[in-house]
Amino acid sequence: MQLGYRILDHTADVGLEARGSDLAELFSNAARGMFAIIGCPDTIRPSKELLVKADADNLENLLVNWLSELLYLSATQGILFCRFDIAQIDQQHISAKALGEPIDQSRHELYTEIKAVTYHDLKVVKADQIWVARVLFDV
Amino acid sequence: MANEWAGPIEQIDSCRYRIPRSYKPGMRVDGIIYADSRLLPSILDDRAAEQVANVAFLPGIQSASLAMPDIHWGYGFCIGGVAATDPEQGGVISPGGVGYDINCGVRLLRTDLSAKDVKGRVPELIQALFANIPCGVGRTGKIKFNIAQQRHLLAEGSAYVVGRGFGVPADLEHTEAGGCLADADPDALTGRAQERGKGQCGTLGAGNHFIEVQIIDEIYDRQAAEIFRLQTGQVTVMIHSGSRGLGYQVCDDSIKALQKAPAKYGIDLPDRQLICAPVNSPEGQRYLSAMRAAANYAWANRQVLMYLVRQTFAEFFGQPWAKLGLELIYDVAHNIAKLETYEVEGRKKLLCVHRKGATRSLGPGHPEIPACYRTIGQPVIIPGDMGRNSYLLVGQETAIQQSFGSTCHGAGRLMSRGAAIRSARGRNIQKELAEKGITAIAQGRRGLDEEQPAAYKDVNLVVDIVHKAGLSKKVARMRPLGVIKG
Repeated sequence: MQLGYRILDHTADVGLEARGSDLAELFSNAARGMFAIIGCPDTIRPSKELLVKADADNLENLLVNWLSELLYLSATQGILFCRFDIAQIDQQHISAKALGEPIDQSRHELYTEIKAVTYHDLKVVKADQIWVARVLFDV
Repeated sequence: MANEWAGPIEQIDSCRYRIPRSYKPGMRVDGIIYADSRLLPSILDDRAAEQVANVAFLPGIQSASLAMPDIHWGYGFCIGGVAATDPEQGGVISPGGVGYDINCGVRLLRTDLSAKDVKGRVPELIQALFANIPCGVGRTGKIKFNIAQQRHLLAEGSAYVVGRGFGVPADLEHTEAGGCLADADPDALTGRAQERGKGQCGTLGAGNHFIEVQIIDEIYDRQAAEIFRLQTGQVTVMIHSGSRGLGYQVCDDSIKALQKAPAKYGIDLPDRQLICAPVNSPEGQRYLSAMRAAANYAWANRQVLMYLVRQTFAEFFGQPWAKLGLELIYDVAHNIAKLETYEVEGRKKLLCVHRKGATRSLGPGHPEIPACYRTIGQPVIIPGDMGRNSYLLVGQETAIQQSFGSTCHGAGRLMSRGAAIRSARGRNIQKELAEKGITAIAQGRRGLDEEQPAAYKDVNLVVDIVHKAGLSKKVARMRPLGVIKG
C-alpha cells in the first residue's frame, strides 16, 4: 500500500484504512486519507500551518479525537490540510503541525463534506511491525 | 466491508420479516424489518440486519427494534431504524440513534405553476437556484446570524427566522412540531458546536442534500390531493437538508461526553457507536436539551433555504412568491428523537422514539397534525433519487399501532459511494440525466456520480411496502425536472 491509506466501501458512509511503520506515520496517513475524501490532495498547498493537539485515554480514542480536531479546524477556519508533521505522539497524546491553505473554490477540487469521525468498526492495531488503523466517517 | 447476513430471518407477513430475539443473547426484543421478497436480498447484503439486532440490546426498548424498507448499513444504528424506549423502565437515549445530522429532514412546497410555465426554462431556473443558494463544502451565504442571534435560533427554531422576515406564520403551522422543540437549551451546546454553526444557517451542505424542482406525475388519493391543492402536471419544490456543522458537532460532543455512561449505568452494548444514557439521567437530559436546540437550528435552516427558493422563483418569474403559490405543504424531520405517547401491551406510555432515517407518520385525527390536514393524516414526504420519483403520503393509524408512528424516509442507498464512482467511470451522469429531461447541477465533481439513480433502491418499491403495510398512504408521486446538489 504505497499511499499509506486506502478508502474502503460502506453503503452509506466512507471507511478508511491507514498504515504506518510507527504511530506518527499512522496518524499522519490517517489524516491525509481523511482530507483525500474531502478533496483532491494534489490541489492543496501547504502555505498555512496550525498547531494541533489531541488527548484521549487510549489509542483508538486518540485517533478519533485527532481526526475530529482536524475536521473541526477545517470546518470552522475554512482550511484544507495536506501535510501533518507529528511533533510528539504516544498512546494518549498527540501534538502536530497541520499544513494546508484556505479553501479556494476556484482552484481546489472538492468532493464531499465529512460530517464526523465515528466509533463504528474503529480499530488501531499493530501487526507484523506495521500499525494499521480503520475508521468510518459519516459523510 | 460487505458481510452477508447469516442469522435467522422469519417472514411475518407480506411486508414484514423478523429477527428473533433468540439470535443473540442480550437482545431484549425481536428485530422487525419492513420489506418484501424484492427488497430483502439487498437488505441482507450488508450489515444493516446485524445493526437491527444490536439496537435490540438497548435498555428499555419497547416492542421491537424496527427497520423501514429503506434500511441500509449505518454506524451503530442502521439507517431506516426506529427504536422506542421507556424512560420508566430505564429506557435510554442514544445520540447514534438520531445521527450526526440532527433533524435532517425534507420540506415540500407546492406552486401554482404547471408544466407549460416551466417548459424549456428548467435549466435556467436550476442555474438561478444554484447561484442563489450556498451549497457544497465550505460555502457560506450572505445571510448570517451572529452568536447572540444563533442562541435565539437554537431556542426558537423556525419562528425566530420567520420573525425576521424569512417566511410567514403559515410556514410554522406546516412544520413538524411547529418548527421548534420545547426544552431546547442553547447552553447545553459546547462553544465548539456554536462555532461550527456560525455562517451555516441557510446553506444546503453536501452529500445527499438537495433542492429539487419536480412535477406531479400521478395522484393516488384525490380527496387528500384536493386538500393539498395538488394535481397532475403541477410543479413542486423539495428541500432536503439538516442542522449542518452545528448538529454534527452536537452529536460528536455528546458521544464523547457519554463515553463513561454505559459503565456508570451498567449498560452492555455490542457496538460503541450505540453509546447511550438513561433518558432520566443528567447525561441523557443534557443530550436531549442539546439535540432539541440542534433540531431547531435545522428547522430554521430549511426555513431560510425555502426563503431563498421563494426569492429565486420570484425573481425568475417576475412575480411575488405568494402570487406563484409557493406555499409550504409540510416539513418533516427524519433524524430525531422525541418523547411521544404510544400504547404498548394495552398501556399508554410516554416513550423516547428514535427515528434514524425514518419519518413520523401520524394517522388522521392526531392532535399534532395541523388542523387543515387533520382529517387525512400527517403529510409524509419521501424523496427518491434524482432520476426516478419522490412521494407525498399521509400517515395512517397502523403506524401508531405498529411502528411508533413511523414510516420510511427515502429510497435508501444500495451502492457504496466508491462503487457509485466506479460505475460512473467513462460515463457522464449529468448528460444521462439531461437525456431524461432532468437538469442536475452539483458543486462537487463527484457529487452526481455518488448520487446517481442506480446508487439507490427504487423508491417506488420502498413506498409500495409502507403503503401496503398501512404505515402511510400514497397521495401523489413527483418526478424530477431539475436538481441542485452540494
